[in-house]
Amino acid sequence: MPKVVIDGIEIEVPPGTTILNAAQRVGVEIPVFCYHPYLKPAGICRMCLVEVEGMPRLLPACITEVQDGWEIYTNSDRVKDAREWLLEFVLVNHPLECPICDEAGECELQNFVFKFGEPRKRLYDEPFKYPTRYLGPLIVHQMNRCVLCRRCVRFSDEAMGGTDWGVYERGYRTIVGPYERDVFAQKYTFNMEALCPVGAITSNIYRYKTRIWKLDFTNSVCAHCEVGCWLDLGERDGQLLKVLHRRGYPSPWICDKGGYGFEYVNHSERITVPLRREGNRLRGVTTDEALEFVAGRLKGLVESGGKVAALVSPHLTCEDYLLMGSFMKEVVGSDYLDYRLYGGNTYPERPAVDSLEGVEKAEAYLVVGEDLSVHHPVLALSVAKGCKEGRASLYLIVTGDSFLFKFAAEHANPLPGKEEKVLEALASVLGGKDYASLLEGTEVSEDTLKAMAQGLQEKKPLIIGGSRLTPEGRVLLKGVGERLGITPLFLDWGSNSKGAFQMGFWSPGGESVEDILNKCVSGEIKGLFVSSMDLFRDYPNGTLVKEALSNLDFLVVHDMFFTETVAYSDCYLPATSFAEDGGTVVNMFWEAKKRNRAFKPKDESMPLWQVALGLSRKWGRPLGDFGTVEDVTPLVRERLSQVVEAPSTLGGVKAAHLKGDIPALFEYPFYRAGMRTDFCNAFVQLVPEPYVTLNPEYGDELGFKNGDIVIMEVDGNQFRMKLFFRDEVPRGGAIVSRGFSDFPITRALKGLWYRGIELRAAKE
Amino acid sequence: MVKLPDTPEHNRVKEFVSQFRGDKGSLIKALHFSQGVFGYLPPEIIEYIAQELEIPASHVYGVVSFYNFFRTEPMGEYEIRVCLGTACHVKGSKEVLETLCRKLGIKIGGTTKDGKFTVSTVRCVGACPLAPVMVIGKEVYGRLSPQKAWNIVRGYYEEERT
Repeated sequence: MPKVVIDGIEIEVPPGTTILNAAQRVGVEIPVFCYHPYLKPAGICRMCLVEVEGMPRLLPACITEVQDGWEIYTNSDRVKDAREWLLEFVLVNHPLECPICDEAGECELQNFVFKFGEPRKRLYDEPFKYPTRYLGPLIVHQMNRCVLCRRCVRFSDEAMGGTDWGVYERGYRTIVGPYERDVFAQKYTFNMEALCPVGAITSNIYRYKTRIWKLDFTNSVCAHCEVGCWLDLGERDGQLLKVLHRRGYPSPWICDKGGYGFEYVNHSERITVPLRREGNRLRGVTTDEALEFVAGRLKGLVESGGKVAALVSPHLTCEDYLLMGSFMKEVVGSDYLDYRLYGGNTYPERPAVDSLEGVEKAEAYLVVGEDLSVHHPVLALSVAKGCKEGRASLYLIVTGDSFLFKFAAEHANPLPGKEEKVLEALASVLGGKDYASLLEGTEVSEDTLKAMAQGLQEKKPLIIGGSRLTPEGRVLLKGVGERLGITPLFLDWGSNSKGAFQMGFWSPGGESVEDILNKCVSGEIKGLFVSSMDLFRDYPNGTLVKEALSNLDFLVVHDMFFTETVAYSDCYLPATSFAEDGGTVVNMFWEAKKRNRAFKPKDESMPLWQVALGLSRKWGRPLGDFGTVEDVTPLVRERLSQVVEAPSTLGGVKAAHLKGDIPALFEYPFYRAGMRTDFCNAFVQLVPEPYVTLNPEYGDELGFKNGDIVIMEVDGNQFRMKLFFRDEVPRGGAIVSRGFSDFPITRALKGLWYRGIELRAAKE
Repeated sequence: MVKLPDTPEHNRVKEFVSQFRGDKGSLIKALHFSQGVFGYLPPEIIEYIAQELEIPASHVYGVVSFYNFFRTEPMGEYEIRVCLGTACHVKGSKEVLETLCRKLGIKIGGTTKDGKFTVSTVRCVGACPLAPVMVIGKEVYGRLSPQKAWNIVRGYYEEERT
């Protein structure tokens, strides 16, 4: 092991350690621009030059490996001079606009000039002036401020496998940016902004809002998906203004939903007082009155023999599920409660891996039934990591995957609704059975499947079953897993499905959301409590939702916005956002993490657990004496340690309705998936309206052009939408976007995400 | 997806580039060949090459803009190369260059609207005794003044007229 002396401190390090890493071990600071712990060292910026005894020149610490006996000086006069000069050179072209720069206060250049620079400028020359580029609603790129560290470009290449972001020209004229696009939003854009050491890439959402030192940061967990990235919520005056990902858990990277998808918290359309229906109007009332009204009506319904059900979003905390569940089961005496409002009829299952590092270590991956980059974006990056480095091979059975296909060794891209047929065929191949007949009509070739089966047998894969799988699909995948000796990792919708399941927030009889809605239609269920979810936007059967809601005697909606579901309600209770109340959430690896409150709930808004508590008090049978969410947490912890058995849901799913010309998959666009994304202004600007996508060749065959306006017809309902060509769509199928609260796209669905559609050109 | 039109030039590029499908390392080869066919690299060729070699178009453009040799604008009929070597610089080649650019209404590296001239710079042509020097096509012109240089360039227009 090489022994080195750094600034007089002796240390022994493993061979291959760079000077920078050795210095970090002994706590000696070396300034860096281009180095980043999670990117490959590049040695570009020369900020980290250090002196080594006996070497004629200064050495870059980030890429030089230490050798035995080196004496390293990080603070000698030569090094100080070099730093001064470097900063002076950088500042020749760097505009002095710190007072109007959003990065000021967390700018690495600012810090270094303050620490290591010399307050003088000897070269007075006209600096380069590049135009400011507003690259869509997420980021602003100001080339003037760039120090050419290329962290953003390296992130794009190393983590995302290359995007439309590159380095052009050379030498002092080098510029960075997109080549083709005017709008840059590529699922992981936030990391590029976060990596930028200066203000060259800044957030458009945070632009000119406040100063970083005026924000109070609170540790929290992202509420969009069950990867559960840790966030730092920056609050000022009751507004959530900035989100950072400083603690790098579970992955050093996060996605744009985590980084930018918080605007709904401060949305101006948010309703923060309870409303009560009076005829055709909703009148503002006090919380007390509203709770009294709701409890009274529910009690009346139960006493007259009606049933009451609760449908709650899978994005809330365990405390919410626990108290609401107790209220429904113990106080109201209802057996109908569910959180699976995205549709689907599966319950969470324990995985074989316990962390993202575990995922990254796998030698091969089999992903079935979900575009990971849309619903679990950070998991997709982890899967891509191993494949990018050539360590692992990736096998996909996913319709219309939009990110991971770049890394896939074999990509089966079946027609919508045929993923499980292909999975069945794969199981047959592995079992040595005949499979050719199963592949008919899936658009997947036998060669792809054979290669896939061979690859899976050679290396031990990690099997990931996506949220689109039906219970039957999960059984098939488990069968494949057993044959290979692996327990699959099953993913669910929402950010806390696991928690909701563990808290027992599901019907003991095993009823699905569809059954509950059907019971509303038949009149068995007379009262319904909906929390934090617009059923019309997310539940994949708009017609059923409409029938069910119009047939109810009493509907309470606990939400933040006036959604279509609220329009049917008899009482509206204002909900808090994820930043306003703490609680426990369970991530995809069944780890319980704590969400913290960043600021007080706005006006009258209440988290669900408080609503449940308030209702139970008004009912006359209080659930307990809880003052804050921390009082509930011990109960949650206790529940989390118990083993919960899920009821079987096999046989409950009807076949996909695929009659019609073109089988279509209804999938969320990235910026529309997740919680309340249609109240995030930036995301709404990125994806303003739903669209249909077709494979270019197939589109040509049908006689359409990219960008045409088409009419999609389902069951005689017509939807007028734009048509785009995308290479990732399988030939012969279509992908239609959903997740729009102001566009009734779910009316085209019948409980599953697949539907046969007819397309024709719209008349001018 | 980029589809190239069905012309003999485009077909030659297609034929050549399709040999290297998915092979990043052949980027320079593909660019070199395509520039040989067209004289420059139009955007659709850059995108086509990116698609065939399975790399982002931004990378291809990064390489194109890095090397002096690659051009993204069509070349004029004549290339005027003004020497900016030490001797020529001392003798005022900068004024020559500026005058030509101004009179032709283009920037360095640009091409006139009629496609006749492209102005570029060169470090030294080895004719220092004749400084300042410019090269048009294969002809070397020395001992220039801005006016003299412009007269020579104008001569090319007149030559065409007669």
